[in-house]
Amino acid sequence: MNLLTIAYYELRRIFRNHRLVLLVLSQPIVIAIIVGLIVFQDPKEIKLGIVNINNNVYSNQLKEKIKNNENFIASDYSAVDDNEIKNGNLRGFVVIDINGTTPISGQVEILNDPTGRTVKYVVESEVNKTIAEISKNIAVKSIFIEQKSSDLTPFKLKNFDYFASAMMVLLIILVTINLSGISITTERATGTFERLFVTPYSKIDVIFGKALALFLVGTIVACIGTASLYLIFSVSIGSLALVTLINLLVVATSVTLGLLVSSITYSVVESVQLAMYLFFISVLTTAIFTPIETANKYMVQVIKVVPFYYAVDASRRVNMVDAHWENIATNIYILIGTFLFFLLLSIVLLRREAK
Amino acid sequence: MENVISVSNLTKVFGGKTVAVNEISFEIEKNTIFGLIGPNGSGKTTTQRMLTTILRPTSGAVKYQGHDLVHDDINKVRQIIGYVPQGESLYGDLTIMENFDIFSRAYNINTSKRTRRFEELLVKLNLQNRKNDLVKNLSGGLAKRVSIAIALIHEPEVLFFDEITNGLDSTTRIHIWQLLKELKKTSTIIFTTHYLDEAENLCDKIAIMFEGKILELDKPHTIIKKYKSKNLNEVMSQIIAKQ
Repeated sequence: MNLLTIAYYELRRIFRNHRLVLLVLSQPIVIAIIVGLIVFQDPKEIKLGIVNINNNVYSNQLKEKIKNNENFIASDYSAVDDNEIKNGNLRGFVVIDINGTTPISGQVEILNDPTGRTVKYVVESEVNKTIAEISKNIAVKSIFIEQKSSDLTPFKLKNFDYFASAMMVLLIILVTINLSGISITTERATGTFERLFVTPYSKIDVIFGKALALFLVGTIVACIGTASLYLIFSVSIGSLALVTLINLLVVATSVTLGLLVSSITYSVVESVQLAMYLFFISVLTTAIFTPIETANKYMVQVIKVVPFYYAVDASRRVNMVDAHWENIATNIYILIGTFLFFLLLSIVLLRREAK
Repeated sequence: MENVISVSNLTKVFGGKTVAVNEISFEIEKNTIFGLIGPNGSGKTTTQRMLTTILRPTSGAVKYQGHDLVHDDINKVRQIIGYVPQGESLYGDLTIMENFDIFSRAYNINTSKRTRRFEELLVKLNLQNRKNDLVKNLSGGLAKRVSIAIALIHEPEVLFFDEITNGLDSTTRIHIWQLLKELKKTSTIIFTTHYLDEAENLCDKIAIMFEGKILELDKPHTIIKKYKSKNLNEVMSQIIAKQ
């Protein structure tokens, strides 16, 4: 089995380079820790300015409740001061304008700092809750419709879980696409590739052999990445079998995409550039920062041809809402199809000669 | 004498317009050393790359003892050729033995024969004491010997050497010349070189290439006589001046 020889020596060369091994295996842990600490919690200790225009019993009640809210660090202001937002001292102003005579009327205006988008939602939701409580006290006889909202999931989710499911996939792509992306071009540069092809080794032997070795390395990376996220940040994990299946398919797909990159590029620099290019496209199209609903309608169609979108989507649904096989089967079939397509394409497009 | 390789009207065009090799024809007899010489860009390396199956010819035919390079199973040709590229072309992060192993396994030689062959080559090329060293730690001359040993593992009938003595000191060059003379007893050798004294001393026949064409094809001394020169350096000077 010629492909096993290629696979064996590919692994031997990777593991003999201790600095490379350190770089490859430390990436999932270090990046998981950094992202985990950055996206650690719901926004807390949000700095607000409160402008209490009328200064009456009701407006004071509202002001005190906002000040006592554990999410805020609120200070009194006599008027809205734009510079406090521009200087980055405050995330917003709450302007209370309620009269003190019956019938009670008025308004509470929230002026947000647009640079902190997720903070805005927390401020709005917390202030609205406080207003509802005050209204309830004031208008005892009036009709009050309570609004409730909760996530439909058996898991107790944290802010980081949304990112963690995507991170599991993206960590694998980051390491494997770079490693496999240079595996052929490095050999072209050293001349060993040309030499291999003067022997009876076939293109299939080389691509399958390298794919097998890199798949094993990618599997180790996937295990380290997922274990780091689970053990350090206790991220939500759904069915372990499905998480494993998704991760293994991501390894296989990104390894073959990397080999395709290596097959069609002429130098190591070109390979690294194209691999990073594809990695960032993958990151942006997996809806890691904002939900897919924020994308332009044509971009949504583009996103849906990027295979890793389906991996992140499946990972999120398994880990966040406990989706089962039947819920993510289509995503799995798409990943299998893409893996086979990349594998075939890298064999067909592999050039024997250097440029 | 039996011909090992017959080349007829071999042509290579890159990108549909750059003619690197232009309808060249020659034959190489068994157990001889054939030299492809010429200035940079003359087409000798492209010719060798077509003969070693790295590049596919645009047109023309190459026959190895009856096997057609273009139409027959290319692996039959790869089984009988050995190639020593210009650079070291070795896995620096593998040992000499591991390099032997990865290249030799392509030929499906059984384990005992392979082990015996490795030992023979280590002795022949004086590499026994360094067999477990990483190739990246070897000197240029030693690495070249490893490169030659790998090309010999499957006992090929035809051996290609691409500017093999480039960058080597004179002692190593002389060792390699002796080795080539010895290898000629069992194999046919085709090599490209910039050193014309090397071609003159070693080759039974040479092809002088210029701009993709063969201008002269004969024994070195016959060509020298034809140009009324003292050596191949003078012949080359005359050829370049004429062009």
